[in-house]
Formats: sequence, C-alpha cells, structure tokens
Amino acid sequence: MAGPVAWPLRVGDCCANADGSSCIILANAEKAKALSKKPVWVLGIGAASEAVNMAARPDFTRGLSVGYAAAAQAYKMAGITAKDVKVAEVHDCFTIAEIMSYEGLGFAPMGEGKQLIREKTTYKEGKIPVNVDGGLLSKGHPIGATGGSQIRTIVLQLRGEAGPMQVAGEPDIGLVHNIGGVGLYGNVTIFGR
Amino acid sequence: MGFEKFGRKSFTAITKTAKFVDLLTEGKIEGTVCKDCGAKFFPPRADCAKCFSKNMEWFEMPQKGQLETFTTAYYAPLGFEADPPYTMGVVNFGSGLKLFARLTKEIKPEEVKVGMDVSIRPLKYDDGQLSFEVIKA
Repeated sequence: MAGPVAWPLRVGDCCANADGSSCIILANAEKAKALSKKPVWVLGIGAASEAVNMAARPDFTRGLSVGYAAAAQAYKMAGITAKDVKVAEVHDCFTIAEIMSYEGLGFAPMGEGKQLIREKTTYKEGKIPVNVDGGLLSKGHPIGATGGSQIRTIVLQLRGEAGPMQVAGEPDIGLVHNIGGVGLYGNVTIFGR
Repeated sequence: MGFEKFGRKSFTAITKTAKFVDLLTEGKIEGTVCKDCGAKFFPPRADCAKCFSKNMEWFEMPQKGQLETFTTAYYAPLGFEADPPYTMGVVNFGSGLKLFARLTKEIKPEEVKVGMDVSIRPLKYDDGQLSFEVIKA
C-alpha cells in the first residue's frame, strides 16, 4: 500500500493540514432583504453528538450516527426529504466520509453510497451534485473555516452565481453537511432561495 | 499512584478513577459498574453516564471478546513517533461492553480479522508506563 496513513486509507484519501478562513453574514429576514438582492434562507438545521470513545459507540456499520440524526432533524424542520435536495456540500475529510455522508443524508441506502460515485450520480452533471467545489479533499480543510466555506458554495449555487462550478437546473434547495472530531458531532443545514 | 503512569503518553495526572492504575499494577484490568442501573463502563467512569448515579463499583473485565473493527496506523502524533506501524481496534464483550486498545505486535497484521476471538492483558512499556493490549484468545 503506497503512502499508508491508517489502513485502508492512504495519503490521497486524507485531508492535509491547511490554513484558511471564511465568513458568513447572518441577519433577520428584514435586514437580509436590505443587505442583499438575492438573500439565501436557512430552511432547516440539525445538530447531533456522539460518544468521544470509539468503544462507547453502539455500532460501526451505520457510518457516523451524527450524520443520520442531524439530517433527520434538518429535513423535518425544512419540511423536505432527501429527494428535494438539488445540490449538496458534504464533509469529505476522508474519502470514506463522503460515502458515509450519502447514506446518513438518505441519498443512498446503507452500504450503497459507493454506487452514487460509480454511477456518477453525485458528479456535477449528475442527479444530485455533491462537492462541486472540490470538497474538503481538493479545496482544502482549514478546520473551523470549512463549514463557512461549504455554506459559501451552496449560497453561490442557489444564487446562480457559481461560475464554472454552477450546476444546471437552477437549484432551489441546497444542503451543507459538516462533521467534527471523529464523528463526535454533526451539523446539517438546509438552504433555500 | 496517580494517573500519570498510564498510557504511552499520559496527559492526565489525577482523576477520580486513579485506582484503575493501581489495579493495573496488580495485573487487573477493571472497569466500573453502576450499582443502581447496572451500566458497565470501560474506561472506568467515576459516575454513571446513563443514570448519573455516583454509586459505582469496580469489576474485572471479561477475558474473552470479539474484535469488532480495527485499523493499522502508519502515522503517529508527537510523542508516539517510534510506535508505527501499530494496529488498534475495538473489542466487543457483549451487553454493550466494549474496549478500544492496541493489538499486541505478536499478532501479525495478516492475522487480524473482524470477528476474531481476542483477550486483553496488562502491558508495561520499556519506560515503565502502564497500559493494556489486545491479545489472541
């Protein structure tokens, strides 16, 4: 195995250390309309946590439990299902993390997340484009700034201002999936225009 | 003895469960069990994370479990530079009791399989630090 880090993950499967920053302007509806011609709205939020210790986790086959729990909360609050999401940014800190996120978000049934990549469903031209900005692995993962960077990409997509990375079909609902620690906590945010 | 003797590198000098290290010195690997609700914890907890009771006692960890998952690390953080590659995994003893630890180097990487029967034993590093490791059952 070339460049092993932690079997079966190799260097190319893992994010390198990176520096970066991001900024979000958050305002109430009245202010948002005054500040922006194309405000993007937060439709739903979800947040979940899990045990720090690996040994305190009931199950490893479901991937990250926080992804499932945060997604369920956010979908419920937004009044939508996974099928309504037109574009998404997910926390691919490792290659496997992106596949697990598909399953947690309900884009694919458990154990079948890999099919979305094989069938190019989550490619830019696919049915549900994911990480069209390159994701954490390609764009860089400055911890702390990553979540804001993911929101920035979705905001540009919903405004139709994403340039070469703009997905087709004028997306009206976007999703951000962010994980912290070793799946210690997860946040899912759903945006609309 | 305080907790500073525990682990390859210890970042914890004193805890309410420092007795764990004394027991390890005697060759015993013990967790704590809640006398009120029966929940078992390893690493030991001073208070119950399920019902918040302080009414806890020590119990000896079972000798036999199954390896639930594992990885081999080829990279290590500061202070652990001499250790890679090493394999670590989660041992499931049933009834919600699990343990996360390194596997002994006596188990060859190609022998490690999910579901294999394993046991645990106390471990003393060359520098005198104490820990425990997973061995073949």
